[in-house]
Amino acid sequence: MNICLTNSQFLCSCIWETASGRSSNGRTCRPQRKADPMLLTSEQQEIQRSARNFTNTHIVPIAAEYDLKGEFPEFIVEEARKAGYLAMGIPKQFGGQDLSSVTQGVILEELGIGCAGIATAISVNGLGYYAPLIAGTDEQKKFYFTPIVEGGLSSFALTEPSAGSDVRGAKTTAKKVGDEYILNGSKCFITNGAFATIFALTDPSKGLKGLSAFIVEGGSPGLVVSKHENKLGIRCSNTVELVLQDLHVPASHLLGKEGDGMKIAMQSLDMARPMVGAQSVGIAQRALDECLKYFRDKYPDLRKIGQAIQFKLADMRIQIETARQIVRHALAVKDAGLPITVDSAIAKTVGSDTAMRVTTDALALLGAYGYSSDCVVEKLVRDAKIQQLYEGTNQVQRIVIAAQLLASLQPQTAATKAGG
Amino acid sequence: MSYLLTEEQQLIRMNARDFAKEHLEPRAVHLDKSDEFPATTIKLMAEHDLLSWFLPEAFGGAEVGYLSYVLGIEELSKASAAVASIIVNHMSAAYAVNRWGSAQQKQRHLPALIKGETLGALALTESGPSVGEGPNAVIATKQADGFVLTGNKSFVANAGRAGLYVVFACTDPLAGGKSLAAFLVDAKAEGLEIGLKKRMMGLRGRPIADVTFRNVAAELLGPAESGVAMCSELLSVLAIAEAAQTVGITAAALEHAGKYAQQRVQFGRPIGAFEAIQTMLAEIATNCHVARHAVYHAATLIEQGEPFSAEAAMVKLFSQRLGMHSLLDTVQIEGGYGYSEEMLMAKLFRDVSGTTIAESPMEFPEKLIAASIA
Amino acid sequence: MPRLLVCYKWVLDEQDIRINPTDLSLDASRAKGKVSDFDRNAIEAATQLVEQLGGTLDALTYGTSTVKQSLKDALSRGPNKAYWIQDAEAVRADSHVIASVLAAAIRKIGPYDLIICGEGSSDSYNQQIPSRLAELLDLPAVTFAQEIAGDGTGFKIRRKLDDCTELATVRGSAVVSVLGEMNHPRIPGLKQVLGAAKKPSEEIKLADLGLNSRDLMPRAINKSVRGFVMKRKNVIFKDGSAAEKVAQMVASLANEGLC
Repeated sequence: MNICLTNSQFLCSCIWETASGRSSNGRTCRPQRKADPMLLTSEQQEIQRSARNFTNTHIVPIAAEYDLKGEFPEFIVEEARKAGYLAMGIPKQFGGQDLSSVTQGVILEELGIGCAGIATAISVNGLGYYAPLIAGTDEQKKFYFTPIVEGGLSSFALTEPSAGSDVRGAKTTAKKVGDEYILNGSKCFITNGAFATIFALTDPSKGLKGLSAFIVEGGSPGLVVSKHENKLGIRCSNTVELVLQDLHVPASHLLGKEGDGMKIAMQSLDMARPMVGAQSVGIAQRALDECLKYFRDKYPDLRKIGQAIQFKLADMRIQIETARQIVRHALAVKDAGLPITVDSAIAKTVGSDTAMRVTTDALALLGAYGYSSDCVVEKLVRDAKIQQLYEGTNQVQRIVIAAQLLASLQPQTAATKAGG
Repeated sequence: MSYLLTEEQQLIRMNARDFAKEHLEPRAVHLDKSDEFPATTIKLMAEHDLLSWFLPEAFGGAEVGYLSYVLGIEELSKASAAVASIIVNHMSAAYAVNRWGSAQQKQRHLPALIKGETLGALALTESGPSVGEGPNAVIATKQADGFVLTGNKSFVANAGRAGLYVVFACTDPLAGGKSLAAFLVDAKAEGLEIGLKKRMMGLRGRPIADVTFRNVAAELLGPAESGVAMCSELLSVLAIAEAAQTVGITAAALEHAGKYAQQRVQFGRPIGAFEAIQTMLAEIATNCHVARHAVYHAATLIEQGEPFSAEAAMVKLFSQRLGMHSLLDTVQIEGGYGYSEEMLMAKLFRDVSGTTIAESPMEFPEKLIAASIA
Repeated sequence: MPRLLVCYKWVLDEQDIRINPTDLSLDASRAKGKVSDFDRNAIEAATQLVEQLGGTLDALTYGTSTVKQSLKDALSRGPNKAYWIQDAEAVRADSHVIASVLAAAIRKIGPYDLIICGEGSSDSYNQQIPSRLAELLDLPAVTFAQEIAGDGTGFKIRRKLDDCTELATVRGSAVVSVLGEMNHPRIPGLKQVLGAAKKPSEEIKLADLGLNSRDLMPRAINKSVRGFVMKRKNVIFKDGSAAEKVAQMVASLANEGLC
């Protein structure tokens, strides 16, 4: 049986730059995917091409090196600023790109193809600024968005050693003293560190209803970036522990009211979860690209590729496309202004589970080569795993989805009718 | 056939466990971080006869059954998969010498392999579509007094530290893989080049590199026309030992995750009280149990001289799924801590897939299994 | 060439014993047997002596039906031959009974130049057997041995006591008990494990030892065994200045009788 490869999929005259910067033999090339004419506008396609170019130019050549070192490539921030990726979800009036969610997802998928660690830095930056976007006054928005527009990254600090999946375990407190709040506690596994939306208990006696959200400037005295996490994957992403020691925060930096913290956190995560799905689709796509490249190198006569392998590749393509459309759907629902909690949970779960399955299948296909650092696939496996864990584990996503399903079984009251 | 282990097999297993706890466990994390060959540990293992296993007493080996060997590998893998992997690769080369070597070849090589003075390595994988095909295939050319090998082998485990290589090469370039034969190559042979040590996802500490042969003197091992069958048997034997490794690592991960689930409290209870976690743990435990006994069964077939290639292929197929899926879940159970390289689980995750690698694309377990059904 | 004997006990591995949190009862159903920890040191010490000085090493053990499981394990660690006495009542035996049985066995299979024991068993840790054996056999007891060396005519043994070390010179037979810190028991090599199966072992029947009911009647009766679980007080001193917090802590400790 012959494999039918169309010209649009294999442009064999191009040179593929491997992750280490060396070029491979002239015959190999990166499979070129067409942009999706049915779903993306020509403007979006242009943005996609541009993001692809950004990834190939800035990310792919350095990703392996920074993964090995476990260091964040600081220079990427400036490049991302120039490309408009730092402020892509920030409204124009504050200097942002104000791109639609679908478009942001397209960009993140491309960045995910390059390196999930760098994509994470960008997507968590978004998670950080969603909070003021949702609950901030114009003044607060200006205060938060300006440093980002000018070339900075922000964070979202919710997790604590005793508060992982269970936010009720949070112990960080915020005591109101005059026109300030004094924050004490610690946050862990925080991406990007420093400038952040930080969640603390203004009223510990109220449990989750006593959680509030604060804007905290990086470099504030009392905000100590302590441990840098040594991680299995997304190693170039900066993950730290934040220690808050009598951190003084102006009362004007409280987002919304005291007690709004949980609501703001959940709404921020709802917005961010499909983005995790998007970068996960990128990881999976890269894994498939690498498999195709590998088989192109290994089999001068492509007809010799056995049927089992062909079917595995086809399965990967099916899974990736399915995940891509699920993610895009969730983002389109968001752009339409509709509630997205369940679609967002589905997008994150499907995206990350797909990345995990496709990358592990790729690893199995590529044998010892796939297991070595000569090949990016082992990094993709490591990078994929965290997508199932952060921003709510896929178990938590299922709790969210199940809760909504069961709630829909309740007899309809006027309230539930309105909520839909 | 008894399904239960004999007293001797249990003692051998306990002995391996004691050794692993005492000597391998304390060094496992450091070995992974340094990625340096654990020469002292291997020497110590040789002194404990842990490089001899099924090799004959006549040459100084322990001459235990293959199942006893597999039990030992399982226990060693729980503590340090990288060290166990060095042993497994060494033993697969020793198996070949013992199984097909002439009296002279055995006399020359087995005592040194048993004492650990020589480490063994198996050179099979190539960069072409299958062994014997492609521009880099290792070709064996007959000379007056033996053979010379030319070509390239990739990802040879123990390369650089091995004293003896068992190399599969084609005697007829036109026939390709069909003309495979087995050869013995001395590490000191002229023209043998060991490439740069590769960095791998896991099993760090086990050396692995490409090996280039430039007219390297080689001695035929076994009949030249039996190479394909020998390769197939060797891969089956190796698959069973590697599956034992997968089971060992999975068991260690399961124990670690189970303990974590008992201790980590969220939502007011240990997370092990939640059905979602119980389901994951139960799935892993079940699959591990099934895999373990399939491995023991396959090993017993070897001991009893029964055909074992289909069972070996099944065990390989099953352990590929077992290892990866289980470790994905054990990391998941441990959440952020499971993802941290400061804890053990990340290393186990990286190690497990190294034990399920297909040696070469021609080794396609499903085909063999399907053929055995007909 | 010395003739040495090492006595060992086969005990439950305490790692596998679970404590029921409600009533502190012990669940030993998963516990496997092992040679008691300090007895391993004793076997190691004896094996090293035979390696240095030549001679032979016998092992002797008294226990319930599990005693047979222990033989290959013990033999793999160095002894040339193992003697065993099986008795269902061994589970209720106290130090008096154990010592009576062992002494009677030693009278049958001895004499030995040295009879070596661990300083105590890892389950009950009464530390009485070596002294009782010495008394019953009318031999000197040299306890808390840290080092044993042959000196041509007998042995020189260094004892580690609370406030000093003592060097004992032994002429003739003696009972010695060794400290855990004395050596690091080797893990037998695979061939030694296999070789144990080929070494001889011999049962000594309790009935043949000529012991009377008084010898076999335990004087200390074990009423129950309960687990110990550490309870945390979880007291936090957070109010006041640093000096005040320290004062509060000191007062609390004094209250507990700790300072």
